[in-house]
Amino acid sequence: MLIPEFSSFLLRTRIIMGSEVLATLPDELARLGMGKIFIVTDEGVSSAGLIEYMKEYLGEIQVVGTFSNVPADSPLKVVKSLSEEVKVSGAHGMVAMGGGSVIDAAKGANIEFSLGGSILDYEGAGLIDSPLKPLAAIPTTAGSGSEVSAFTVIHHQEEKSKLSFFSPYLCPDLAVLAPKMTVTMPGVLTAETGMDALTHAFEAYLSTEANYITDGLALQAIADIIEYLPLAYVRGVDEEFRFRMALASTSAGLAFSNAFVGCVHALAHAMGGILGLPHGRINGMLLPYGLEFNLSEVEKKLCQAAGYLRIEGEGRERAINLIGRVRSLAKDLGFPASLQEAGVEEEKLQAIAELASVDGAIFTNPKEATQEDLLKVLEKAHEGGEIDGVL
Amino acid sequence: MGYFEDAQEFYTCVGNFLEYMNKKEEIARKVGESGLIIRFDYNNPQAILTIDAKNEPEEGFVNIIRGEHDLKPDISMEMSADTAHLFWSGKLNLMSAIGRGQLKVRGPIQKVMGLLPAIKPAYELYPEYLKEAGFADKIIK
Repeated sequence: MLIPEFSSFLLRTRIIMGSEVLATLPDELARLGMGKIFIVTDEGVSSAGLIEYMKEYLGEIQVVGTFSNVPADSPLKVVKSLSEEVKVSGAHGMVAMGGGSVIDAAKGANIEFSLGGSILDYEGAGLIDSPLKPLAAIPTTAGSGSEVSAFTVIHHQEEKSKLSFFSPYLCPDLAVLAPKMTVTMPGVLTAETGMDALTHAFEAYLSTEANYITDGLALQAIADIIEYLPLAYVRGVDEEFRFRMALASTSAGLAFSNAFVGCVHALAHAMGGILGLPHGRINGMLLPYGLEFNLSEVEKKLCQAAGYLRIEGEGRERAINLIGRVRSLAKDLGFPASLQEAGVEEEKLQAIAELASVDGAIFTNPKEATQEDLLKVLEKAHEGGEIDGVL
Repeated sequence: MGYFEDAQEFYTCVGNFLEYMNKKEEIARKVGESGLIIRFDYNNPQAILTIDAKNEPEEGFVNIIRGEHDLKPDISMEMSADTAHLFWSGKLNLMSAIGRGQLKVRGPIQKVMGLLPAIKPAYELYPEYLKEAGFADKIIK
């Protein structure tokens, strides 16, 4: 094993998990000084009855406000309204219950709630250098990893841009993984968020910043997602399948929050910005192509992952078999077989490649990816062929 | 002890290198077209360099400002002088440095990322420049 010059692993979030975990919420929240909480969620979670269900477990914890209108992509306007409501509510902290957009919105609002001023003053990396007010996250999807990550991305609709924030203090203080919280998730959302988690796991595992700890988390996540995502997709009411996906998604979140991601995410960010397609759907379609593009650089690691999954074959063939497994999974989950089938116009590929070539995610991809390389990946994904590591 | 003895030596190496690059059209044109003001605050030794691509350049494609000024930057970056030296030597992954806390960025980081492909040729020019300027001992192999 090569000894790196430097490596690190950040762990700020206490993660609690299990079938009876909600019963411990009063103690957990009280320990964080959250006697009065403000709940942040979205309409889907709210109408599914999950907020009321969670409230039954709160005991003496007082709910002083609820914001249940967080839309997709955590728009800046919503984040600012939320922070204003939280400020006047008298809450000690927030409980974010939802998918990545809800948790990201709560993280964004927590910046203004805790530090005052405008969230825009903190856009960037490393600018928040003191603990924020307590934040607990209860994910209702298994994909974003936001419940343990040090990032938040807020959508500035007026300027048509994404505001990125990175600080260890953005990690929620508490992540609650309860299987009941994801059983109401529709099949398509299960598939898309699950493939997002699988992409987090693979890209963290293959990242230039991967280390011993992120590798362990990512490998376990890859194995569990490949096994349990199809099961959770078909039988969503099964709490065991949902729980395994919740664990895998959080493990992948810890891995990518430390090791970052790669070319699939760079392309997904660009494609999401230009075409407005859901992030998880794009990741699911592009992941096999990203793996094939990187194959020449990461054949050994992919073989190790294939071995962990007991996928047969020798050397390169074994790695290719693993990629084939990912491709089959996407197909079984109903993902389009090509970008063309997904309705992506070929004329848009150039602009997507251009934008992806300067996305932050590209800088930790294991293989250098130029704009031309990324265009080739997109063209292959558009026609639906295999790259087979020859790019 | 870092790579630079004092601010003067840092300005002579990194500051002069930025001015050297400002004459290289293939690198500086794209930075000039960005219209951004990017301020770099260095420590150990303390120094400030600012790339002003917003105002009319006196020469080249951007203005390179040393020390304090009144311009409002679009993006500010804080790092050690050694981190800057590693960056221009092509030995620093920007995302990794952010993750490790070696770099603080204020503002839209993606706009900085967008300039990286344009300035990539500078990584090869920096050691050549150091050698010509009499600082061959600072070249990172």
